[in-house]
Amino acid sequence: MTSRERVKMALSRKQTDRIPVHDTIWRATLSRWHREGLSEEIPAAEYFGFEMCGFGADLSPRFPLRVLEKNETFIVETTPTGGVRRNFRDYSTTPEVVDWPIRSRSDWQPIRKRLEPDFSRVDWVSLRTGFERAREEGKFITFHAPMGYDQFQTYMKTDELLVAMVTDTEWLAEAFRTHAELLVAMAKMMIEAGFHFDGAFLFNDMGYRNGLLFSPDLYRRTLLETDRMICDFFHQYNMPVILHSCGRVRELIPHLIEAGFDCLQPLEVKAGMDVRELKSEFGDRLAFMGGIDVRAMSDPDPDVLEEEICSKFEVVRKVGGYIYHSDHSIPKDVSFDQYRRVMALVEKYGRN
Amino acid sequence: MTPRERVEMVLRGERPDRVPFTVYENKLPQCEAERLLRNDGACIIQRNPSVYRTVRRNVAIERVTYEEDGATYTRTNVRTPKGYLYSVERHAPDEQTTWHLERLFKKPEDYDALEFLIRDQEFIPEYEAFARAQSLVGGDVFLRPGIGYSPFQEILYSLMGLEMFSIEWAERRDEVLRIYDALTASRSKLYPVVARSPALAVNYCGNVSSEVVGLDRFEKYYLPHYNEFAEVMHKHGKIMGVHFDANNWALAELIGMSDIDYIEAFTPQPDCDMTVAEAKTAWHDKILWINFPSSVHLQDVDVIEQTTRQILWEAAPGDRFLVGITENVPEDRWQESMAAILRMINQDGDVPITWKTRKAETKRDIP
Repeated sequence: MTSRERVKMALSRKQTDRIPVHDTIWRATLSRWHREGLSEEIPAAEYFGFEMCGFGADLSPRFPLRVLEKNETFIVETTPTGGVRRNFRDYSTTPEVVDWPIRSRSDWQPIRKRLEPDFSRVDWVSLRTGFERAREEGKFITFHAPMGYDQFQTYMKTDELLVAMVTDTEWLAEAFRTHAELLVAMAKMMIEAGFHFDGAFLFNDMGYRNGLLFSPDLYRRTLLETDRMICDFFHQYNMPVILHSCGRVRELIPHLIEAGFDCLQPLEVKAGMDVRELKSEFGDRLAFMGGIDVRAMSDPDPDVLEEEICSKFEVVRKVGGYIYHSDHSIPKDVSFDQYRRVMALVEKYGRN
Repeated sequence: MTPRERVEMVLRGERPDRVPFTVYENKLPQCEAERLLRNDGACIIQRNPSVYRTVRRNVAIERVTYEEDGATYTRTNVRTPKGYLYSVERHAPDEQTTWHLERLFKKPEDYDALEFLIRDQEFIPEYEAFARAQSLVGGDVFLRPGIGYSPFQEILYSLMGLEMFSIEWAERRDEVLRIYDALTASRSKLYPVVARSPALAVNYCGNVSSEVVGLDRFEKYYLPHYNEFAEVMHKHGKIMGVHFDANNWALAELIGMSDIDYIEAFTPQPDCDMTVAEAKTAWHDKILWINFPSSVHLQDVDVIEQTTRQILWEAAPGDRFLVGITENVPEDRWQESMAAILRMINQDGDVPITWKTRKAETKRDIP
């Protein structure tokens, strides 16, 4: 069974020969692992046998990037979305958002006008090289893109965005829809150009540690129809849709199923997302990806990690509809040896 | 804006009102359809007169044209103090193409004569004739001379042919490189003569087959010449392009890093291995002057129209972009095909090309 077939079956909630494997690793983590013995010549995804690969388009309004200030430690620059950010010179951590391009509804129109699809939003040369290589390697290839509420955090300060969703619901629903139409048009352009993706992997963080960032009712009023439009579009091409949504989003799941999402990722354990429970409650309608606690990976007691993987795989392995992924991404406190053990345990307990 | 002004604006890096449509002078027979195309905005690319003439003071060259079995042949006799060379070409019935039957180089003993022939070349400016022609042609003809092949390609394609070259490259590489060095010196003398001419843009003939040449040879033996010519041209405020009409994918990165100003005769899919979108990405700072894919001329008009729209769309917003015809189009197809291409350019090719023409179509697909 190729990776492509394996992931495809998992997303169809069918049992596979073994649990498919994919993960996301921080750049800082990779730097650590290179010091600890991971070859710089072999990409980590290849070394660990990750089975998915994604490509996307530039969905930003493409404002010109300008450096406003630079010193030995920081660089302050404008962003393609029209904001201002301060980064460390090596861009090693999450940047500080200094300014947002949307302060009020009137700021949206100039941005909206720039969200038109066109061919120059895709790096076709890199796409073809990467796509053909991934196809040759038998990987499951996704069209990936940010979307919805999460995408608009690059335009608006979080508290102002959340307030606007309540006070000006119609505007935000239209704004989310505009972005989604660009997403769909660019995906269509790439598909028509011969890039036959196997699925879509869309990112929209809607939760935090203790719950949702907004209510299911607000989701329905601002995002449900747009999400349904996106899912319907990809389903036309037989592409299952994976939604990345961090935090505790359990309450949203029935609505996400209604919108048409096929799989939920990454199932943050520290936010109370337990794949065993989710599988039993929603497993007949939704596939799952993730849910392996990264805190267990760096725990000095090796039994903690083994228990984490063994107990969860025991539930999901036999019924299918599950893809291994950490419950977010691999931080730099996980050593190379610890992560190799993660993969060994995934291999050991993931076989059917 | 005249068709010629449109072409000149693009080549100067300015934004024209519409994407130019150009046709080589020998691909557009004189007739009513030709007149209509010119009236509708087609620009003829006239590749002669040249801006220089080649003279040889110590070599005698004679060309004899004769007919045999209904075909026309030209035999070129070259007499040098170092030996005698000759070549034979057969003319295609339409007189637009010739086949090399016998090339100048035939045996290892020919190296000395060949080197003498090359080193004996001198280049005399012919600026006045060019300027006079340029002033007379009017608003729908653009004069764009060329300077022949780069040294390695000249050896590979003109002097030896692929089979002979392969043997010599394996057996007598030093001798091949002696010819290459002679051609390099000769071209270096030619560049300033061309750069000082009244021509705005000059083609370096490419015709490079990436499958034959390969990346290493292209980087070592081709690019330095394109870059040298570009540098000389730029010093005189002129630009240069290369006729890359074959598969370019393998060479795309190297071409992108070169100083070439425009990629000419680039032929997109389905005929060659890159799309316009890929070319625009790979060579985002260069002018892309495409050849409309020849195989599409044979299709129905709606396919030709759709292909033109797709090409324009991939080139959006349409800066640094020209659509051309650089290959022969079948006699029974050119009128209909070129009219369809030009019609679509006039309809959808206003610069900047925007999403408006495609939007309705895509909206329908959004459930």
